[in-house]
Amino acid sequence: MTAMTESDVQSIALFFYFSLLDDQKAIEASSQALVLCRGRKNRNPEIKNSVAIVAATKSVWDKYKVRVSRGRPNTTVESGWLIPESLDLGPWREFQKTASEDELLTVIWSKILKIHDDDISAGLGITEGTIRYRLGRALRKLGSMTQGVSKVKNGSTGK
Amino acid sequence: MAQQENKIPLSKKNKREMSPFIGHELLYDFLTDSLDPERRAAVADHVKFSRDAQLDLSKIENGQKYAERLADTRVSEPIIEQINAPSSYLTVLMQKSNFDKWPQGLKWGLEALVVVGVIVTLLSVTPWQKVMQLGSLGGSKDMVLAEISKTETTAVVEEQPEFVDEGAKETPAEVTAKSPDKASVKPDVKASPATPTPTPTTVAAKTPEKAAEVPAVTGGGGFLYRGEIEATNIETIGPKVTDKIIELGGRKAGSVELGWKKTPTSMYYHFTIPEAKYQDLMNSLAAYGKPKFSKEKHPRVMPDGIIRLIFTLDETKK
Repeated sequence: MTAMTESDVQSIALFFYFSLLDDQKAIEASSQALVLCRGRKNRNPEIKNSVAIVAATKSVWDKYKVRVSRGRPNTTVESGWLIPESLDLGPWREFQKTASEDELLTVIWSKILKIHDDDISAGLGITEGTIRYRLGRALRKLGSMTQGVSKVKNGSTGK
Repeated sequence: MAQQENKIPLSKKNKREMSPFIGHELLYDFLTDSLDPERRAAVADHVKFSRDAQLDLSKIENGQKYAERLADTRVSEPIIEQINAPSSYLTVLMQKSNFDKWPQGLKWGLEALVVVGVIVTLLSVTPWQKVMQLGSLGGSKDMVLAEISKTETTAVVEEQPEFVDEGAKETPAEVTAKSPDKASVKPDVKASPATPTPTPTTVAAKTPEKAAEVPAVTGGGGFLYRGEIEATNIETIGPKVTDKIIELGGRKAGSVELGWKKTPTSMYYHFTIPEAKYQDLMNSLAAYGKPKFSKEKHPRVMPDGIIRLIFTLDETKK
């Protein structure tokens, strides 16, 4: 198995950026998760990077989730997180605030970091069916957020 | 439908019916094409006739598209470097101790303690003496006043060698008045060696009495034996007296050597000697003249068995 690559570091960083929505804490948490990840890889070289990432990020998230008040983002444009132009983070902020922990993390792993469902389930020790179920609910919620934002932007009340 | 039921007999009635609830929950699987053909067809039927299912499907699609756009986010190189940088000892310590979870009061208390510690360390490490000296080089008037106080302290310190001059205290007026005469007398003394001097035997007989006459002074502190002896030709006698003192175990006290020539006609002896040898010393001195000694109170306390003496050996006045 390969060692942790820069792409893996990117994935870890993005995970904490989108889950915490806090520039500085995301860096701190990523640093810890990377150490944890490397430790796992050292202990078990056969483990897939993506599985190690899921396990490590979940472990560090559990420590950080109590420190972060969801719904109160602490991010700036100049901080070095390069969000695609014309992308509105509003729906995500709303989603990060209201979604359950399982939904939030599953969407990040699966749709943002593009980790396969079987790797996520291996990293968390749950079935793929559960992952898909969480994804379905999470995406429905996220989709409704994006529709809500677009309706508000277009002057509609959404009724 | 009948064919499908035969293929996958999952229900007790060999039917695989799908409720609207299940249809809703399988929408994501339907969208990602994760269902078997039978299920897929069932969900498709459900979506076709259910307005809610169509709306939900649309939401899921929107959510998926939005998430995919979020996936294009990149992390800048500096942040990657920050994450890759090894954790400092302090960071690790903070993590291990769960510092963030400590009560706010405790954190502030600890921080205050650290600040106080740093200040105290700085204050104790700073070389204030040098700082003050540097300050005095600045030339302000206040600093000049500080120098005056320094001179006072040195004057106080000089009190300590007081006993060195104790013998000299008594004589300056006398010495200054008489020294010219004695200088003129001195050659005469040398010229007339037949000057009558008391023989050792006769003086020896008298000195014990004199020594016994030494008044016993009582009181706190120590004692000092102060005296004088007049003799002729102190130039010759002086070294002999010095040798005798050394022979009896005497040791120089004060800053001048034994037999220091204070004036041309006076030699100064300031020394310590075992108390047991005091009488022997008196006997020896009696060979050259009539020793006049007195025991005085003195703040300086000598060790047991040791006494301190100051006497002058003066040229006999003509």
